[in-house]
Amino acid sequence: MSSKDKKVESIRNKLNESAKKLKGENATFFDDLRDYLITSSIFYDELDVTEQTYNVCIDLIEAQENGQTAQEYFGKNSRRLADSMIKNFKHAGYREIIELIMLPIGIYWAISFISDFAATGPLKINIFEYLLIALLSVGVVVVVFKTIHKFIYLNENNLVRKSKVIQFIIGTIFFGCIIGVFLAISMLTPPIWIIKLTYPGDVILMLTIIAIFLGWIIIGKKRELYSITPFIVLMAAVGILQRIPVLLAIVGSNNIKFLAAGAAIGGFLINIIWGRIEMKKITRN
Amino acid sequence: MSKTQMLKGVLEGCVLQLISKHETYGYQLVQDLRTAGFNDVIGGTIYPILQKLEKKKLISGVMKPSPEGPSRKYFSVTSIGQEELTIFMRDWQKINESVKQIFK
Repeated sequence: MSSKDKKVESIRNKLNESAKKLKGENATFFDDLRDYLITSSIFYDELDVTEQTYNVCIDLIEAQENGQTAQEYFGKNSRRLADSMIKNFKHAGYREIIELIMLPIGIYWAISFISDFAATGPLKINIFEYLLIALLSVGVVVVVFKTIHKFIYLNENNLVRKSKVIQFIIGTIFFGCIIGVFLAISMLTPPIWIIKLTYPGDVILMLTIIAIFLGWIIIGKKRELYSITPFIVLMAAVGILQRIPVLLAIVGSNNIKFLAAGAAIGGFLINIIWGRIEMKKITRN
Repeated sequence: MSKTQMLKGVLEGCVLQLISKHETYGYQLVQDLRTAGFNDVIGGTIYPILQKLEKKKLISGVMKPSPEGPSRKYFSVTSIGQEELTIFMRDWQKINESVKQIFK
């Protein structure tokens, strides 16, 4: 973790602790403001956004202690305040933007690669498919952030804001469509640029990727990716097992199918349970 | 013309002047401006001004523990900010004299 990331984390922890002191409508006002600032800030400097949000929170606590409400102190139009603050945020550096773009691309590439690797026969990588996946994954992140951002200051009488059922239906349809598009890409992309790798090149490539991935997660303390790691490692292990002839002979080619299914289900369950625990921690904060 | 429009440019200079007197932070600035007679000033106006001044390097902010409790960002005027303040005061005096002449 870089010193900047550590600083961001430290301020974010202080912010979470401080925000607990806000009460009633002050807490609601600040929660909306914070969500609005954070969801708008994908391409802004994370340290600047977190620091400014923290300053607003500390000042609001002082106003509350002096008997002022958030509206009296900040003004009635919190969205206008947020928009003016966003305009003045520092832009993120190229490194941060690339890291941000590469994160969703990396996750979807890893899943696609694992599924290519788990298939029988020589490893085939369709470069055109990976390019389409990259475009779609960045698009999904931008759309999700923009939608949440627009949603925060919707009129209180708006049906989407009021009804959890409608939110659930919209969310399910949206993510259903995304999964559908990903499946369509994986099944329908024409094999224009194919890279073919046979044993032992495929196993060496997989081991290298897994080593880099694990190193990046552990050294970088990427907590948000901890839950998906067992799934990726288990699937990769099954893929490696079926590509090394000696190991395949020991396990048996029939058993490998059950092993693959077990690894997929086990990894998926670990991901769901671990992911939920992490989400609860974040929500509690 | 609305009061807000009239205040727009002046407020930046006033914020700069208040910060030049002593290190301060957002909430305190709003209180100081209200005490000085800017009763309608709200936090929503001051935060973007502070960001803008910091971006132009006219002020600089440092996180420090405050006597009342948590650490917060205290602002002070930079040397560029001091120069800008001098220019603002000179320009303001000229405008003030001209306006007075017209309304005499």
